[in-house]
Amino acid sequence: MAVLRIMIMITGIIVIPLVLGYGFMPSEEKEARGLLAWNLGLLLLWAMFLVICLPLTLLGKGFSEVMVGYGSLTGGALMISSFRIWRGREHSKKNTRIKEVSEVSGLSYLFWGIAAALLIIQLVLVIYLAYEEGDDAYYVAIVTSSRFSDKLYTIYPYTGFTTGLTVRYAMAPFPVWIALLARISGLSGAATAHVVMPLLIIPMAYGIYYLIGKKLLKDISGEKSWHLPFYMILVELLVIFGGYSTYSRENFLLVRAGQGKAVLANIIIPILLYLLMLVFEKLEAGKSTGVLIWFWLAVVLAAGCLCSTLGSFLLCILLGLGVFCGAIAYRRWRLLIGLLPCMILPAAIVALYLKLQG
Amino acid sequence: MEAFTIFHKYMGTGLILIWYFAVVIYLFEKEKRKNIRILFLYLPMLVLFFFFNPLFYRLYDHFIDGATYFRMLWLLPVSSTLAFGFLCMLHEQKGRRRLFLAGGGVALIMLTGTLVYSSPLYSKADNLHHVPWEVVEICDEIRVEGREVVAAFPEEFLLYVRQYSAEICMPYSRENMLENYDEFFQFMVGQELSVEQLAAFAKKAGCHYVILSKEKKLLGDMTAYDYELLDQVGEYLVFRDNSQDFRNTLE
Repeated sequence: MAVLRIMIMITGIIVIPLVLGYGFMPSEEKEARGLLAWNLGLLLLWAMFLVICLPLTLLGKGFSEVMVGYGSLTGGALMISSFRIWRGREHSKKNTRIKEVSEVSGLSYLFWGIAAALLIIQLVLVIYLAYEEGDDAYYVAIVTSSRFSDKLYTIYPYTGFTTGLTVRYAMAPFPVWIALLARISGLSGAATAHVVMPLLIIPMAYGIYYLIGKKLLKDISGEKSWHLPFYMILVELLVIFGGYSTYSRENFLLVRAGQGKAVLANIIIPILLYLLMLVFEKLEAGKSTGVLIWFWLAVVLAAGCLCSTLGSFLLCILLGLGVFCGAIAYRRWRLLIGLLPCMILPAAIVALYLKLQG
Repeated sequence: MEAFTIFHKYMGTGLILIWYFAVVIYLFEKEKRKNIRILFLYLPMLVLFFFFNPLFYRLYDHFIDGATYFRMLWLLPVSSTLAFGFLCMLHEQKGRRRLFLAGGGVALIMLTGTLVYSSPLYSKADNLHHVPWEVVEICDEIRVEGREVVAAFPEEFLLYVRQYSAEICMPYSRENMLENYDEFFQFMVGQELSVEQLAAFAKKAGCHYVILSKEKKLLGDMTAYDYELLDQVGEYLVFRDNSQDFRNTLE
């Protein structure tokens, strides 16, 4: 039974995101589609969780109601996504292309091996090393109490006594999503936050680094080149040796992967940058950006709001500045119009936060 | 000035951010693709412009929280830019020079950065929960089916109890370690504990259990105040207050 529950959780964080991501793929590129789909699918899951969890929490509803609402929304999204994939397959059957098989150099194999070994070491250390992180006493306690008591943000996590709704933290209910994983898998809240989450977040973060690296190195690296694996080695070393400051986002990735702020720093902000790269690539090719990319930008912003209340503000700054620069550089002022729907949810959350904080 | 102090703290002990700025300058000269220039060069400069702007800092501090201002620096794509810039430099070299440069770059990261795992806050995990084994054993032992219980734990366990079990409540918490003064907590961190005072604090807080380190010197007899030594877990004594209500509230 325990194994079955863990398998269901793994399906929830691997298969479901893949289906969701493939159904709404914003890029026509043939490579690394699975990786992009998985990352985007998880972000869509987080965005949907925010849309369900935040209002229900503010309305004083419990964890089980959130689970029902989120389950229904995910089911609906899966149906739409599956339909889109099925339609896409029908279309692609008519346009079947033969994929070119490329050779990979020995040096490239060696570097990929080193990069994979570094990743495996980090993942193994996640299991065998514990980090004394003070903030976990708050965030992981929310995970544990949400999983146990069905109450959302009305229990003071440090002591366990009932309190009024803690608005500041309720606005970013990422720990409740972790509690959902814990409830599904049957693992304890602490094990889910300290072990399962890093095992999910660390590969995801490197996946995004990989996607960004592929774009950055496009001009100097061929498929059989050693550049991309060496780039990944450097990035991994920068993360592993990122302990020069407790504030650096690299440090957050390894020591606080179960906290929303680490996810904001290492998943949400980088993927927002990646999506902006896709937007600018299309503009440079003289193509229209299309609606899907704006949909994903809105999803990323919503997922950022789930991770951290401050995330809404930071992401608005990054997206606003990025699109503004793009509008000037490409003289495409219509980009600024696309910005508005993306920012509705984070702006509403920031406004609500400021209002409730008084 | 606050922004400079925060930036200095963010830089920490290493030179990684210095290398980042050096690579940004290099890429300003070398990188010609407009989209990359916008996102990896101009955008970070704009972020830094806002970051060091005192007016922006004041607004941030007023509306959000100055303590989280360092997170603005997360908007700088440090690792990907550094790795990319370095690969561009490598790409320009040939043969042995490329090999030496590659080795030098790796060595530079390792020497000027700090290994995250070298932090003294890391230790070997006792279990999959990443909670000290004593906490797990004590929590499992004092748990009462169908209700929550209150337990006064020693300072070293305050971070972990509620992470592991939502059924155990605590009269004081990490918050009292950091800032908010709490009389009971202050009493508990002492080396010599008067049992009379301990019982008064614990009963007032409704504690069903009191967990004490064996190293503490108890002045008085716990049994005189309805306490029973339930168990010894490692170096810790678990006392149960028999005058408290242990009934299952769900029945």
